[in-house]
Amino acid sequence: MLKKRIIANISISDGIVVQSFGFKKKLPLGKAEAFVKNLDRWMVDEIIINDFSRSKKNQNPNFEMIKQIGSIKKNTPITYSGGITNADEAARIINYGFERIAIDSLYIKNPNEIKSIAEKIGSQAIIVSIPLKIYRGKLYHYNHVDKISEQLNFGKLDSYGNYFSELMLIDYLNEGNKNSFNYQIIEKFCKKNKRLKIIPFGGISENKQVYKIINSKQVTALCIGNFLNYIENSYQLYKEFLTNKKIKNIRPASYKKNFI
Amino acid sequence: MKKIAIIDYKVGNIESLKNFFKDLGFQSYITDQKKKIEDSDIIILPGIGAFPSAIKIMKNKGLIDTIKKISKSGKPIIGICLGMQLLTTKSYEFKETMGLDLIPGEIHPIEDNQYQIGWNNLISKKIDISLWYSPQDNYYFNHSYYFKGSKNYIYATAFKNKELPAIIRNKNIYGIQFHPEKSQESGKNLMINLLKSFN
Repeated sequence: MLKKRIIANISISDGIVVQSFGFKKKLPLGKAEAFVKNLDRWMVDEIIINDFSRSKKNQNPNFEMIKQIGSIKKNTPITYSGGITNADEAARIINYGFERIAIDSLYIKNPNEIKSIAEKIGSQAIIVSIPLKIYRGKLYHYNHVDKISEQLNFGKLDSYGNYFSELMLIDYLNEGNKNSFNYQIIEKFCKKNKRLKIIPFGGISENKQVYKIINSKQVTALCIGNFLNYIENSYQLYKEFLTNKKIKNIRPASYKKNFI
Repeated sequence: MKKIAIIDYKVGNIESLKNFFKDLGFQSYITDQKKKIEDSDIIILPGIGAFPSAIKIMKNKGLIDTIKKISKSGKPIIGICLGMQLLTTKSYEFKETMGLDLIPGEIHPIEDNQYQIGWNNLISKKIDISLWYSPQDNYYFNHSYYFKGSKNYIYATAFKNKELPAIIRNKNIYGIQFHPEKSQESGKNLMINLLKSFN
């Protein structure tokens, strides 16, 4: 049985790992390499490096950091997000040892390029991530670069839907804040689009939230960031909770035999 | 010590594989040079990428004939994910493209635009002492196309709406649809047993 995943997010701003709060306020934590090594040792399902400062500042991916992370000995699937603008950059990131890439501002600026990226690295290796909020009962897509929100265009998602495999729905207003993910984002999205597989992210911290979200039909994975840093063994504690709730379509907690 | 050549066709996660083999205690190198490929003991076709793009690069570098020639010598060739798909007769990813034809069969899209992304168990279809795994172990998959061919070549499957081939084999040619290098302890155990079986 294919398992639903809990993805560990590492937020990066200006080359260092940060605790991010709505992608605005941030507290420095340290070097990405140390976080990747720890998460790999904790046997998380997947890691995503989210260098959100690159897209915000219109910068291309930080290849020095990508190469450094790629060279770490690790056996956990890893995705890079941040400033990717073309197929050559995407292929270079994969070459450095990443399995997947996530597209953010490119989806707004030049979505046709996603097709070229898919032709080079395959659509299975592409995630599109979109920051969302609910406004007057409707989903709005926030553009970090131009700092504007527009109503989410479902037609556009459909037309590019064959060139990416999963869609990360980011509750950007609640990102980094405890127990605050807005479930309406999932509900409203899935009401309009029943095809795309989704990865909710932003403000997911509590076991009960993880349980509720992971049980949503179109959710193939969910993503947790800051809250993995607060409690020892936090990642495997989420897994343990789900295992105790008899959720079968996850990899069970494994830290008891493998941790440390 | 066995020398492992990881074929560089510019679209695979080659650094991950190099680190993986080093961790398992094997010497490997990344190359697109015919001589270095011929001098190796085990050949790896890495994963991640699109079929036509990878075949085009292999053709331009003259690697297709080299690999086909080596396959006749009995030297083990292991394809991982996209690498597995390249070993087959042809693929329909984006367009019809001929493969290496070392394992007869075709690569088709998973029905209903489905992907198999994430961790899954293996279902044994044929016993092979070199392919050791437990049904409880999980392996990391990431693909949207799958192998359609004779069950004679299918050694294990994984269930995603239906059984999809996960390990295929034709004599000395092995195809692994998942990523052992990203499957943590399960992947390490599977690969080390496979590599040791070549002694």
